[in-house]
Amino acid sequence: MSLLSKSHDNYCTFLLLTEHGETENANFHTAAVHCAYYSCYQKLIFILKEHYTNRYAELNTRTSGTHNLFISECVGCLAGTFKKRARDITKINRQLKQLKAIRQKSDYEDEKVSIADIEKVKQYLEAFRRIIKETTNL
Amino acid sequence: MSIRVFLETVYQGLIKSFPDVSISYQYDECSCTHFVKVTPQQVYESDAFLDFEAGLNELWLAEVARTTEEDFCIVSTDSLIQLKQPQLVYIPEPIQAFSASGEELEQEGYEIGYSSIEHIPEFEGLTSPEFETATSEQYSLAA
Repeated sequence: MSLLSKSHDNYCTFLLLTEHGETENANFHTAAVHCAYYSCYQKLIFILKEHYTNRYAELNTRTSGTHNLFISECVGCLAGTFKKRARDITKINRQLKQLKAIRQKSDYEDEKVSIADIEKVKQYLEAFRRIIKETTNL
Repeated sequence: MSIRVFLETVYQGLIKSFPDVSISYQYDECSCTHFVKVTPQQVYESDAFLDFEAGLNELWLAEVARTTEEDFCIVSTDSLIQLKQPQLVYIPEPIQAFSASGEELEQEGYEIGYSSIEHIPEFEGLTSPEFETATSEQYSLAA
């Protein structure tokens, strides 16, 4: 199963979870944030692995701090390749880092993810998918 | 390049290129991210700012990213991440300008000066002549 498929599955799971929001027994917002971030991250890793092979191989030897570095490297590669979309790719970078931060907060801290947070997460996720689609056709 | 030097570069670059912006800083331990908040939102969304930020991202990748597990991110008023307890706040404010005879000059003659708040020991190295220790009153106004 490719990372691209997993990215798509996480996107669909995000939509399912946000559609339901919460039930009497469970709140799905935390899981939704988790899926949104990993949907983006897995697609970025797929791009790096498939299109920037040497860079991926070099980075893949690292065992720590990989998310930050993978994101920065992939965004750097994309900005270099799609120069006319550099500003959009800068937006992706700032939004992805925020998704990563809220994912970590929602997974590991006593912090509740609000409906407003989820709306913003969805906005970032959709913007990421649109820009990646327009540039890499993925 | 150390993260401290990088952040100082960010601050100085912001002040020079966007003299009217307010800047807040907070390190988030959970995500190991240095968040810098810039307002107003219109500046943050402008092409000029995005180009500036792209340059910072290049610098971060070239000089810092491989040496740390920490991260760096710029946000604004409408962003998902908001700084609940900023450790540093920097606000531009007009400085009253006076003529040689001591008369107050017209509004259009004002120069832009800066006040700021800094109260995190680990950022002592960040202090520049423009960065002054602020009172708690100033902090509450700024926060």
